Amino acid sequence: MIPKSRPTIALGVSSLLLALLWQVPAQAHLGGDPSSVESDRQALHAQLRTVATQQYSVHEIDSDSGGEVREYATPQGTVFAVTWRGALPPDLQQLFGTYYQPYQAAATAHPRPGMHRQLQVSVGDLVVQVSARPRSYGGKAYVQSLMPAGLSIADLR
Amino acid sequence: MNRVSAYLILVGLAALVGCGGGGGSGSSATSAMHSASSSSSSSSSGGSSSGSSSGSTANVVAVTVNSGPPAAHGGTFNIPYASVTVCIAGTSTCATIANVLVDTGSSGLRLMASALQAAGLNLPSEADPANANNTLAECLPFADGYTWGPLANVDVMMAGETAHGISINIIDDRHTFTAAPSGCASSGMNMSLNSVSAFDANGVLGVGTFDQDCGPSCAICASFSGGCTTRYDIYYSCANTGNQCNLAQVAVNSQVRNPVTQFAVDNNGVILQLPSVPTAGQTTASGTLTFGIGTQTDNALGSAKVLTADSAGNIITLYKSQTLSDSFFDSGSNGLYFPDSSIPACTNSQSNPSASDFYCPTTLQQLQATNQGQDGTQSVVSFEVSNLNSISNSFYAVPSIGGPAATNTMLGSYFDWGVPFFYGRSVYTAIEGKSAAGTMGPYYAY
Repeated sequence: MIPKSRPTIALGVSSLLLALLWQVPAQAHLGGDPSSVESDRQALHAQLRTVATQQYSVHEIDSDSGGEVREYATPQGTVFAVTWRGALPPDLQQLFGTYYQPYQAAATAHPRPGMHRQLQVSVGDLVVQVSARPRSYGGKAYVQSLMPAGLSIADLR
Repeated sequence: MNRVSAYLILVGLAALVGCGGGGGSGSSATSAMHSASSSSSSSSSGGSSSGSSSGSTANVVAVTVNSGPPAAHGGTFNIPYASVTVCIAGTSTCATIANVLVDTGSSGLRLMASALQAAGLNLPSEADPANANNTLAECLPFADGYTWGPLANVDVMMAGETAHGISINIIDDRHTFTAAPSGCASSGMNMSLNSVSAFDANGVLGVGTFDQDCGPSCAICASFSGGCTTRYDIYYSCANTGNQCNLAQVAVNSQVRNPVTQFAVDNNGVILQLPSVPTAGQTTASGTLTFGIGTQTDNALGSAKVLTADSAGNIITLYKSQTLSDSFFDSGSNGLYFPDSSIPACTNSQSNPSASDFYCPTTLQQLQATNQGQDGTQSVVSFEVSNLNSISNSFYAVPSIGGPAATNTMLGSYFDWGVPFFYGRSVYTAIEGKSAAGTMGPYYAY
């Protein structure tokens, strides 16, 4: 297996911060602010770990069913990318926030004969790549215009 | 490539359906079909060709790559089809459904309600064991949408093999069942794949590495506040009156089962064999699906190299300095999907809006990769990718079709060895937890 690039420093979210975030209503996620990470965590019934680097922070959400979601946020807290992997797919409508509808519209615009295992969609500056086999679901989505300057999607770990 | 406009002259495809079958129309029903093993089985059920030595169980069914069922309107390339016989559990009320996609990338049998209706078989839905007033149903996510429909308890018969009393999924393309709940439609892609044309098939015969389609993830929901009601899941319990469906825990043994694991014998895996096909393709191809590995004289491992898989059914593919750690062999994929930014993708057009799902190299690409099992065993594979636009629309068996796969440095990348890999090979798929020819599954071999 290739390294899964797990963060070496795992910091728990402080209970104070958690208490504050809990008050914030669910809102947009991809493109959302830090509170959207917490609402995703609640929706996914999951544990949250956060790791910060100079260019971005990673919020890693592990659900009880073995699924893993990572949300990548700018230093200002805007979520610019999400990735997921697990035996079940996560709720993409929850993770994509306001980006779900344009994704949905672009992805369903025309039939793709025979393509049930993977899907690659670009719409505006949103890029979505999905792979799906029963018991093996994964993918990533990112908004190019929200990415920190000088950062490439390939740089994310 | 959209084959909707491709009209083929069907040649030599007669007699795919055995057991009093109706030939090319796709499906047939009979109320007097009994287990094939009770006769000399020269014409056994489920579109089989007898392929075993005398005194043993017939374990081979015919597989054909062609344009598929009429309702697929010309279908698409590289889809292997077989016939499957299903009976109301414990009865001789049965039907044989032709043109079911043979899929080593999933587990469990799914049949279109329209195909069952055309065959005259009315399968009763399966009651929720936890609530007799409810019916079990399933929402199965794919990359491009979902299927939805009730479960049914059936006997599945292919060749001389029978899986007694297993759950299968009826894909509700007749829209007679409760509508898909919002949790099904809004998670992943809100796109119903409930149609023959969405799959170019009357159903999907999942004979992959798993015993059940979902497994432990769908059998637990402890520690979730409000029970299972707030989590995306696959199984639902639907009230028989009203339209209410709620997420359901389903014990693994009650989930949609890989029929192979429930055969009395030959239950540790399958061998899908397709013939060699010229690089440019040919109209159709005929092969076999053999049940069991190392259980009879006709399914020995022989010189095939075993590549052990991880618990998700993945091996490692080494390709052009990339380590693709989530790779797999999948007869449900109609191309070779792998990441290679040096090969141009096809250009989308109005007539072919999804062309960029495929590669269009200017010259034939002759490539090589190394497949590696989890135990380190390696196998070098040569393969070809031609320009999609150079492929004749009348060719359904094409070994040189490839397309780009996403790389995911964060979560793992893959090489999807689809149907092109199977041409000219016998590919073994051994099931999790089953010993097959001396090695514990899951594994692949070829």
